[in-house]
Amino acid sequence: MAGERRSFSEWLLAIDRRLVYLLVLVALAVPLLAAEFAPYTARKLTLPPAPLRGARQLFDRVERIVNERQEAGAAYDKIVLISADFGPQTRAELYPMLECTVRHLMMRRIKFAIMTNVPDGAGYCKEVPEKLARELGCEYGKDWVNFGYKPGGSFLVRQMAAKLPEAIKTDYKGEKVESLPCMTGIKDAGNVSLLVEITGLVGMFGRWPAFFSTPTSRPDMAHGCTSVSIPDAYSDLESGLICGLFEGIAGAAAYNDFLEGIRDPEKDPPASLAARVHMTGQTVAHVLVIIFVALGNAGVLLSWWASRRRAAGNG
Amino acid sequence: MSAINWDLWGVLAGGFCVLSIYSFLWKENRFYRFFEHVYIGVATGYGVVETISNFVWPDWLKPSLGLDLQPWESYQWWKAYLFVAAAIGLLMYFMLSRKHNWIARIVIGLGLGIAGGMAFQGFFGGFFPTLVDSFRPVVAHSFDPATGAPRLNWWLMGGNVLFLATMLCVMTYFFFSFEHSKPGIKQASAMGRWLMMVTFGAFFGSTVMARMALLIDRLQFMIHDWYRAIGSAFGG
Repeated sequence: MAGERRSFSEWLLAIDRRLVYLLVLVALAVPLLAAEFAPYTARKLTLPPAPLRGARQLFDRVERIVNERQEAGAAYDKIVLISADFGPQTRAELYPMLECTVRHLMMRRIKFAIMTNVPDGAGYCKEVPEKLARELGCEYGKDWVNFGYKPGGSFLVRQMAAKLPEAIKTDYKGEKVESLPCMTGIKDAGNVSLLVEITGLVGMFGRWPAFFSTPTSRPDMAHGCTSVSIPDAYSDLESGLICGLFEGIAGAAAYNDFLEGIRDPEKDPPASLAARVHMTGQTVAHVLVIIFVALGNAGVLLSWWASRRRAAGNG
Repeated sequence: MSAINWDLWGVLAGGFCVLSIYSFLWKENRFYRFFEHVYIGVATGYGVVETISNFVWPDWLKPSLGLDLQPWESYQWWKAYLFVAAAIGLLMYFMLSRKHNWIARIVIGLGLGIAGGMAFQGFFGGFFPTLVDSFRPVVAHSFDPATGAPRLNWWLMGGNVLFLATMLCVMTYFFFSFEHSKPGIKQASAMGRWLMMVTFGAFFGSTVMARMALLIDRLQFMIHDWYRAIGSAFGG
């Protein structure tokens, strides 16, 4: 009723949703603005990521490849395969994962192939390795190969497991993949030491453990997923189906911290601050959402309590 | 006259699109509706072009027509099988004909048969490790790092018991072939429902994080790219 004074609980329950949006926007924008206009301050103010177990396991698996390569010597004929199946929708979380994986592989000079099963991912498959290759001095064809966008879903994965070069045929430039030095000796899934699937799409990862194996071997697999999929992906990590996991943007931020530990300050440029800045904004906004949930519930409880008191007074 | 900087205008247009889409948070409006359709159109067009340039042309048309041959190579006629595969795939378009749509069912049947066969392999490859892992010991040992002697690992045992109890309770909830009113079954089913609620809470929390990430990306674009593009375009 006009002119009637609202109680605190009523006010709490009637907060305009646009105010909530505005506060979330401010919470997310402040770390990004700081990173843009005061990067040194932002570096100090960003929250350190927790040393997440899944990201650590993936990092350790990549490090073990270096040892395996040393032990095998010239006979080593394996590559890492990255499937970057994401587009602009999930770029914020998945792009930093792709970046730190490629950075790690390039820092250790581990040969890898990158591909995508979704059309939107083709740009990232080209952009990320080329950008990092300029920083770290890697060469296309020798250190990595880009298969580009390859449709075919599970059928393609099944074919790749048996005959990898025949299934892929050409790289993103249209050159036959067999002719690239990076692919020398690569025949089937047995020549893949590690598969990293980075995707926010449901069912994308499941195709690899289902079909990407030979009768005698199955490559180790890791999953980079969006925050929505983390509870699902944990069961894969617990059961040993995957050997590593990027737990959303926090996983990428933690991985960058691990990379900082092995970085040669004179040779390697520092990892991007983006994952850490994004994670800080996300954490602040998450705390804000928790506060809103608590306030909303407090409003309901206070309103219920007030109505009970009114009912008792009338009685 | 200087050449048009398409990258710059692309970023400016991108920023305008982002603002138009997010204007939905204020209220439904024509700008939002228009750009929603633009996005769908662009995504579809992009997908078609990528498929043609990255797959249809290099992996199908070029080899089947012999356009990828080196001067010393000769065309191998068995490669014409690629046309047979394409012809079978194109039969799918008969579903647009009322009279001949039965022809499309051949392709659909073929696809279903293949998918059914692959599902068997998919199940064993994808679910068996998780299934095997669900058989966990309730009495678990670990080895003393100093002496190597086995000892009870209470943390692991607690985790395994919790895991098994959760799995049994949730499975009980989904047994619909008997009533859930019997003692034991009723409590286990209720507990299963509560435990699933906890999981859904975890899903909700992670979904909130993912949605924030989407906004972060657009904010990053607006602050980093769009702001600079405006400066370049209008600030000189």
